[in-house]
Amino acid sequence: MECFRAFSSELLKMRRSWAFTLSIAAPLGVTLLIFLLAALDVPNKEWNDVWIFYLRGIVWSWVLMMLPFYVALLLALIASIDHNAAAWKLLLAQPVSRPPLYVAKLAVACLLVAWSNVVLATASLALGFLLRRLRPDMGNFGPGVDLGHFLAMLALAYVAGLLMIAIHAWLSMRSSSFVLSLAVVIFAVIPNFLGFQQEQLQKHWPWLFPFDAVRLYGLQPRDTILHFWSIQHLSIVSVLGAALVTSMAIWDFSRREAA
Amino acid sequence: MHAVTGLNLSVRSGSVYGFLGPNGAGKTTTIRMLLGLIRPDHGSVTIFGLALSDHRKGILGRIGSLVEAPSIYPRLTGRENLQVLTRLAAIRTRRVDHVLRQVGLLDAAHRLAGQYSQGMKQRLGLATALLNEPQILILDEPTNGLDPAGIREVRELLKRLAAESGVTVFLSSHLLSEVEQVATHLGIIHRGRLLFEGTLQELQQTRSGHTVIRTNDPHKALELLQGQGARCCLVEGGALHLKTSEPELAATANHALVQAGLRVYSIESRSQGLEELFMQLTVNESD
Repeated sequence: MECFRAFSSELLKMRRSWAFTLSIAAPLGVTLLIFLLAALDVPNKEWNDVWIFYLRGIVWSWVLMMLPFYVALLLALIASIDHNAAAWKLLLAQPVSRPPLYVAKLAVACLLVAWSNVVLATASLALGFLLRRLRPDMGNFGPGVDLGHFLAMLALAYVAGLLMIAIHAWLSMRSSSFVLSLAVVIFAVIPNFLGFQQEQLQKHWPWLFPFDAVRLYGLQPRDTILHFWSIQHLSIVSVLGAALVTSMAIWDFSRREAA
Repeated sequence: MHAVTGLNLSVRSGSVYGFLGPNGAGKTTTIRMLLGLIRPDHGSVTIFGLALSDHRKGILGRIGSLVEAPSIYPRLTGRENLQVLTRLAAIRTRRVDHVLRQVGLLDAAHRLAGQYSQGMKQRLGLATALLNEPQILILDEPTNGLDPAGIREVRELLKRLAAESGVTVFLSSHLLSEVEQVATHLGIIHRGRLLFEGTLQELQQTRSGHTVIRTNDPHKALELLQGQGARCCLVEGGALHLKTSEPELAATANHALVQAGLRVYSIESRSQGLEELFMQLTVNESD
């Protein structure tokens, strides 16, 4: 019951917050960017299936470029609501156990990331139909959108990203510094862009789990048992990892002294 | 080095307890321990006769607090700021309007708290402290950063709360004159130790006042009174300080001065203010 009360309280704090604004602006930004690139593109050839080209571009941009930075910034913004209001001394002096306070904040973060996926999906489809109307010359828009495939990719990326969310939740609750959160994600992601990391390491790198999940699901034949198992494996590691990190974070939070 | 050592405070129900001490005396540390925000290295914190470590929720449910600057969410309205707590601590929602009215913020409840003046923010902080109908209101420097009008507002509010709601107020402040005007009981802490606890009158009884005498010849007056065994001295401006505020002794001195042919311009009995008493206590302790 305390968890629900704390969750309701945390939800109220999201009103007019930068975190909520970001949860809409980030997916909209990615969608608009890909839409504009597609709409302004002068292709050398006609695409066989423009929907696949367009939606894959959005999902890949989202999970590889945006999601790690978005999660880091979102969690820092959520925690900053209490850091900046010097609210810990008020919240921790309430007749409420400490674990629900932490879990509620994490739950709101997970909810906002899920909400961002909804915004991304809705905006992608809306702008996709607009693209078909504006640029029928781009190629074959095919029989229609493979909505199930698209949503499955987003859902898998979300589950695979839970460990990353848990890590940044702990980090941002511990420190009010945005710089620290962003430094961690830059350190974690940039080397992969530059191809500095070994493939073996990449497979165990939480910040790349969403990308791996999409890569495994989106690039390979969908009915391949081997790859389907890999996605399950990735999801289980992410969920169990998130549970472990959150347990340690709650232990840490419960011992925290409000300065 | 301990911030606070062996502190035992007796706060009477319904009283306004002024918790005084110079900066670094251990006031805020004490308050944070009372609220479970920090843990003592040794020993335990007991409130309402219950150990805080064993009955945390029960005790905190009966306490309202405002520690230093109020915790305000600037992008929420005044009302929403309070609703954050009603949701979290399962407090009846009708308490929101009640406390807003108590602190005089009902008309501004719909405005974003970030737009509030410093005094309004402080009152909103007090409203959050009052939300759970506390038996004890713990306030750490509640007038910090307020202008004189804001200080007066908070002072009047505290007086009213104590009188109308019967709530016990535990008030820490470095503004001694403020505490003097509000508190019924005092605790003076210095270097983590309690130097005095009791009423203001009890404190004044432990420290005597003095009598200021102005004459046409202060040096002759000093010589005369000292010759009669009186404890007195000359201070700047030519006034004579007789180290007693007893009217009878002052009258005797006056009589002696007149008999000696001196002209007595004025005799003024002064009891020590809280500030002087406080300084005397803490400076003596430092020495």
